[in-house]
Amino acid sequence: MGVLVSNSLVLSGVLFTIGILTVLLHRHPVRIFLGIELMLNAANLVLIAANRNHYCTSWPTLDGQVYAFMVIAIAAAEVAVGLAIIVALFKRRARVDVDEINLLRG
Amino acid sequence: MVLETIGWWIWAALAVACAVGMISARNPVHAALWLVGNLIALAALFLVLAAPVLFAIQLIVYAGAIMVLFLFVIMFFMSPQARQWLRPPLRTQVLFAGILAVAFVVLLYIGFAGGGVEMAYSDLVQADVAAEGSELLTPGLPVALGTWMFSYHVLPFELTSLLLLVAILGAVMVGRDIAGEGRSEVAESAAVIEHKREAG
Repeated sequence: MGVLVSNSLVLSGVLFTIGILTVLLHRHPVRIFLGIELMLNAANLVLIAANRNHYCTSWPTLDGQVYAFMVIAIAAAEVAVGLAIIVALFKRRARVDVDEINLLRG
Repeated sequence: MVLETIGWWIWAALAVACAVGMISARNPVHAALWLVGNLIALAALFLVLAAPVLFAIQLIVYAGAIMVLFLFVIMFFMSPQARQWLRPPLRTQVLFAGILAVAFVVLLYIGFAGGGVEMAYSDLVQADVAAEGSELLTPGLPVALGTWMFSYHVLPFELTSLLLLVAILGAVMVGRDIAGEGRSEVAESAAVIEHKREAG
């Protein structure tokens, strides 16, 4: 079981790195957003793996799973607002490139 | 135990493969679909790590609702003629991304090889023995998770509902359609300034 947990931590690191690379390498806001989602999920994997590690100690908790639940809810809120902003950008500009978007008005 | 490990490796490989597909896909619709595959693989990993409730939530909320939202936005607002996503990344972008990726891997290696994993593992060897007779051996069950959440985390749970409400309001406000709103406001304020300058 311990191998599974520690392997999950490494896997989460790999997925988080891929998420960071997506954010750094792409210039379209939707693609960058997909990378952010990947990073959030990597963090969730850590929380759940850590919880798996923790609940078979002498003081078992389920905090990790509750935190992962909260992260999913907050990610949903973030996606709603972020995609609304991206849609507003699409409406106002023909070309959408994060290099050219430096104002949140007009 | 062996079955668990085999399942873990299969789903982990799928998760990494889908993530790589997501970063390298040219078409954003394909990228979103790769991410759906990645989310499903992660959900299966949650199941392997004894979190069946989060497995279900991940499938319904993430792979279902959120990714459908993404696909809607991509399909409605990205015309196939405007192939902006084909533009290659800047050279400095690639350089910095490479440096940061290498740095992150080194950091991971230091963190994991420097005792983190071993500590977790040695803790677990004792913990597994200690937890043999514990009644919390199936802690991911809905009853256990619900009891835990509403015993110790009621306030964050309620605050989450408030956050979702605010997010809905924000999304509606940002997304509402008023023709030429931003531009006309700027023009108006410029006109007002001009007018004041003339008057003064």
